[in-house]
Amino acid sequence: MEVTGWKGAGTAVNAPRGDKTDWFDMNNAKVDDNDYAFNVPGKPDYGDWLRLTDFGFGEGDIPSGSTIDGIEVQYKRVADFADFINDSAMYLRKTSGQVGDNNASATKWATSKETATYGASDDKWGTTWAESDIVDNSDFGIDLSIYNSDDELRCGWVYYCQIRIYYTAPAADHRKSSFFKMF
Amino acid sequence: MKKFKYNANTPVAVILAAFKKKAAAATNCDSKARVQKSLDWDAKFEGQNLGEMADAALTDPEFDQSWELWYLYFFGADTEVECRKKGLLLIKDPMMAFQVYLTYDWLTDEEDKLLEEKFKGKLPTAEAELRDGIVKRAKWK
Repeated sequence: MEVTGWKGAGTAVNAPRGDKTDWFDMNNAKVDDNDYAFNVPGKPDYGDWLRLTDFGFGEGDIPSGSTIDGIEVQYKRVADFADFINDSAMYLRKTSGQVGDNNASATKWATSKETATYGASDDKWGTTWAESDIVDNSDFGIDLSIYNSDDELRCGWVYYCQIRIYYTAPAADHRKSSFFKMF
Repeated sequence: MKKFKYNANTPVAVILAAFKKKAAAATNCDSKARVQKSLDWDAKFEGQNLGEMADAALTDPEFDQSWELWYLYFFGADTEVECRKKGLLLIKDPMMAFQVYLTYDWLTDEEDKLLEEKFKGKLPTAEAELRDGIVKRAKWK
């Protein structure tokens, strides 16, 4: 099994999840720096989706004919107060929209910048993946909605999100290799 | 045996009056607008009781499940269990149900089951965190 490098999103938007609070400065979640996207969910309630797509995986990252084994996602994030903000829902996206498991964690976000990791080398998030769902597909991405459990307005900040893909490359075509070795 | 302050026969007007005090304390514009929206919805039932309002909420698409969370937050501990169970039925979102399950130590075993039905098998990461003790229930502390 092999793994790609980490990649950030090329596109970041707020996507409505009912009549809920918007994300602001979404584009800040595309770049790994000190700027952030943020949402202030109602009290208590969840907010809209932070939709990150266009992660830019190409054939240079995942060779043609590979099998997708697992997907790992990291969020760099922080909450303005302890014990109130956690994920509400988190789904990977294909061209068809949200797919698979809701991988939201119930762990409260820390008040100092932390990196949270989701998925694993063998975790396909409860669905199946074709290479074409990810490679050269700008629709591949992730949706996150956050939840405030307090009766005061609380804020969640996302500094950056990155994804990497675990895959098994196709076995080499030995007959072809041997043929070319003759010349 | 605990004597509850609110039950299915409690006039909605009583809850509304208490709620309005909370709403007056809202300082943020967004929060004020959202609280007002829920108060406007509640006001439709001013001549009725809490049980009737909960029944109507079950089928009214205008009802926002987060309003039930406010109710539980402010009045849950003082509400009679049968009436509270009607309210729990209004929560549809798995993580909302999970958070209620984690937060309140006054939930009965029957209420636990109602909530578990809403999130079991739907939140693999969060459920594993509970199993592994990464997140804890107030009721189990």
